[in-house]
Amino acid sequence: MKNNKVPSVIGAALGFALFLVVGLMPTLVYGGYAGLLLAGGIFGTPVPTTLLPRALVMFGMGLGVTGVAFFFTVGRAVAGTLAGAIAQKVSPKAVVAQPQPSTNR
Amino acid sequence: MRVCYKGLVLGLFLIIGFSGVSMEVKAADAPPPCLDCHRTPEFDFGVFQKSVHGSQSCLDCHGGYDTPTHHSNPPMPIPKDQEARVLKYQKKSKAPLALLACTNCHSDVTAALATSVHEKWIREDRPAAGPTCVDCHGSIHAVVKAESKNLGSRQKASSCGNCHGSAEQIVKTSIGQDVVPTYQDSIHGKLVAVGSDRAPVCHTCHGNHGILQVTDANSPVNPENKPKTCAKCHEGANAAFASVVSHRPMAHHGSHPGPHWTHIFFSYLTTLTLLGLSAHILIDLFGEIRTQVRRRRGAKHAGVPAGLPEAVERLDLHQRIQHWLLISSVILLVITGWPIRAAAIQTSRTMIAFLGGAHMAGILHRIGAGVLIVAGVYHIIYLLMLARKKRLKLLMVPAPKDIVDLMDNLMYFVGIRKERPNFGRFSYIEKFDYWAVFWGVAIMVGTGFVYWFPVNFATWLPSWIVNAAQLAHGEEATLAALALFVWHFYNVHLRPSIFPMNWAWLNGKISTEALIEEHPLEYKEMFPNQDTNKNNDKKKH
Ligand code: HEC
Ligand code: HEC
Ligand code: HEC
Ligand code: HEC
Ligand code: HEC
Repeated sequence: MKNNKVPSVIGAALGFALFLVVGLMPTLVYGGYAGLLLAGGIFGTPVPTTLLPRALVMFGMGLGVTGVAFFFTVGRAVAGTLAGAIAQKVSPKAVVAQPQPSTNR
Repeated sequence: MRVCYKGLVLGLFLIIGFSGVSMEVKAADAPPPCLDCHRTPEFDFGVFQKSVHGSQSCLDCHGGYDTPTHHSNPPMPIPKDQEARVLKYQKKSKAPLALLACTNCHSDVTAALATSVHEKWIREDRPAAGPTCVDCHGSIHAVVKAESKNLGSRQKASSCGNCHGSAEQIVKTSIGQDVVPTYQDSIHGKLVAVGSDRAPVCHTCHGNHGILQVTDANSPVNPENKPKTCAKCHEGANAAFASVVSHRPMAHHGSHPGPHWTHIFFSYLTTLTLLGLSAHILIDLFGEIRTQVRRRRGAKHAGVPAGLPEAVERLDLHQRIQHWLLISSVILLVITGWPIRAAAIQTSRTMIAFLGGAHMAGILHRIGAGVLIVAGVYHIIYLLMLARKKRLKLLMVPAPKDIVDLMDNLMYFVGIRKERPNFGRFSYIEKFDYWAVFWGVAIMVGTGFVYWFPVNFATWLPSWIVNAAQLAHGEEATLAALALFVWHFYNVHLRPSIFPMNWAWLNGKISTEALIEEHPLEYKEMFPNQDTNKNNDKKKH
């Protein structure tokens, strides 16, 4: 089961797509806000609009987007992997356990 | 119901009658004849009908006219004692006299207002005009009875900002520059911004009509009375606690430098750590891509010698449970905490609403904290039990080798070194993760408790601790969340060679192959009799 990466990759792709739809814009803002708060601590408030504080805000945006994108991607990838693993475990067993055509009870 | 009410009003009107009104100019169902001439975009009859004053006649406020031919009459004389006021009103309103009429029905309000600092700035010659009813209540023809008192008063709070948050107004007054931003940055302002109906708005602390100068002995926020005002919501509030919140940046607490330096320390710590981790990830990724390319070209994995198990235990069940507790609590804490930290962002409000409101988010956050504490306590007990059984090996303790390993590893990634450094059971990365969590949990739990029981902490400790704790809690949260989601997730999930995950967190196992590659020294210790020459005796895979 470890070698089959397909469900994980599908999960990751779904997670990433979901992130692009609902997460990208807000996390840019959240990340930038986190960067701005850090810049406030380092450069003082009101934050000057010089190069370094700006770079720090951009860095925050980058990390915010990366972090939340990872969160979505990993969450779905793990879900996909587990679903794949369960499917693999369950399906052969189901065949063994029910050799006769199943009837509805 | 509505009809009944209107009928009642009409009945009352007929019974009591209205002296001085020769025509019935009631805003009942038909628009009053005044509107034939006075049709302005600001006045919407439908809206007015639904307003609290919908059953009043135009003449109740716009008195002294003989409609519909009022232009034949001289306008209502201005009472002598109100002249200064009307002059001020004139600057703001096209119908200054109508504002005097409010007294007829809301005499208690106007009496309270008369004592206020705002009224002083209306009556007296001051550089700016104080607020009239309209400034706080909005268009008087559209005032509605708030469905929920709380909600309505929350909306009114934003009107204070029209003056106290406006640069133009502020320069004309002697008051602080940033009362509005400091309120918005306070825990109260943030909670209100995400929809709390429990946290205070401006008038919860300052009063609504009888607002006094802070220096006035009767002001509810005067240093003498402040504890009582906080105690409306914070049981047992005393002067030390009351000093924690006011209109100054959180990092300024009286003259004590503690919060200021805490702020600076955590800002640097967070920024520098995140920069370091990001650089490490980028170099690692570069190295990973190089390795993948070389593998495509035929370079081989280290094989597993025959006769060895396919996988070995890496995390026992206790450790996995601790890790699961940690995961669930941290995710819960981040999603219930960050939206409040960044309350100004629109999405936060949506997220908090989704979580069941600000109060519920607070409860969930405390549940998360509880689970985190359980995980921490569990871990300490686990370590103590190991120590009692003499099985505690202290392999997590950082050693000089880790620094050498770090350098060597980075050099390996960029291609300067041919071999990866030989890691033991815990590489420097895992040691960092472990101690970062140790530090993070200690800081977050410690400062979180100060947040949870601010009255007690402000009483037991110097009160600046509360400000410092709030600052540390926020910055450390940034560090922890980003370190986990970016750094840790990269290392254990998204590195190309590891994707989709390092399985140890689920089944506790590491493949022997990965053991040989990632922890060669531990491998040697586990299987001392194996030939460690990686090229020997390969198992097929
Ligand atoms: C003829 C009497 C009358 C006059 C004059 C009058 N009001 Fe009212 N006002 C009322 C009544 C009646 C209500 C409804 C009170 C209620 O439903 O509890 C009301 C409600 C209000 C409310 C809403 C209170 C709430 O519960 O939120 C505001 C604000 C208000 N008036 C402002 C004014 C202002 C400002 C003026 C002057 C421009 C004014 N009123 C003039 C009778 C009057
Ligand atoms: C400085 C802003 C401000 C001004 C000026 C102001 N109000 Fe209010 N008023 C408020 C606030 C805030 C509330 C809501 C209080 C609450 O929800 O607890 C309120 C509530 C009221 C109420 C509801 C009943 C009550 O007393 O709580 C009435 C009626 C009212 N105002 C009428 C007036 C009238 C009439 C004027 C002008 C003479 C006026 N207000 C001027 C801020 C103001
Ligand atoms: C939690 C209670 C609280 C809330 C909410 C609050 N204030 Fe204050 N306010 C205070 C206290 C206490 C002071 C006294 C000065 C100080 O301690 O900083 C004060 C002082 C002021 C002053 C005088 C400042 C000066 O420099 O003289 C103004 C103006 C003011 N507040 C306006 C507002 C406005 C506008 C809002 C809403 C956006 C608001 N306040 C919300 C507690 C509060
Ligand atoms: C139309 C503009 C305007 C609005 C709206 C307004 N204020 Fe004021 N406020 C003033 C002015 C002008 C002063 C006097 C400034 C001074 O004393 O220098 C003042 C003074 C104050 C003070 C006393 C500050 C001191 O000197 O200690 C407080 C507190 C205050 N306002 C709170 C509020 C609150 C709360 C609200 C909303 C419910 C509000 N204001 C709405 C204009 C306004
Ligand atoms: C209208 C009620 C109300 C008033 C008045 C009020 N607060 Fe609060 N305050 C709250 C609420 C609600 C919270 C959030 C509680 C929570 O979720 O833990 C809070 C949170 C706080 C916190 C953060 C710690 C915590 O419990 O989350 C501090 C510190 C604080 N208030 C100080 C003050 C001070 C100082 C005053 C007086 C100047 C004051 N408050 C007045 C309702 C109020």
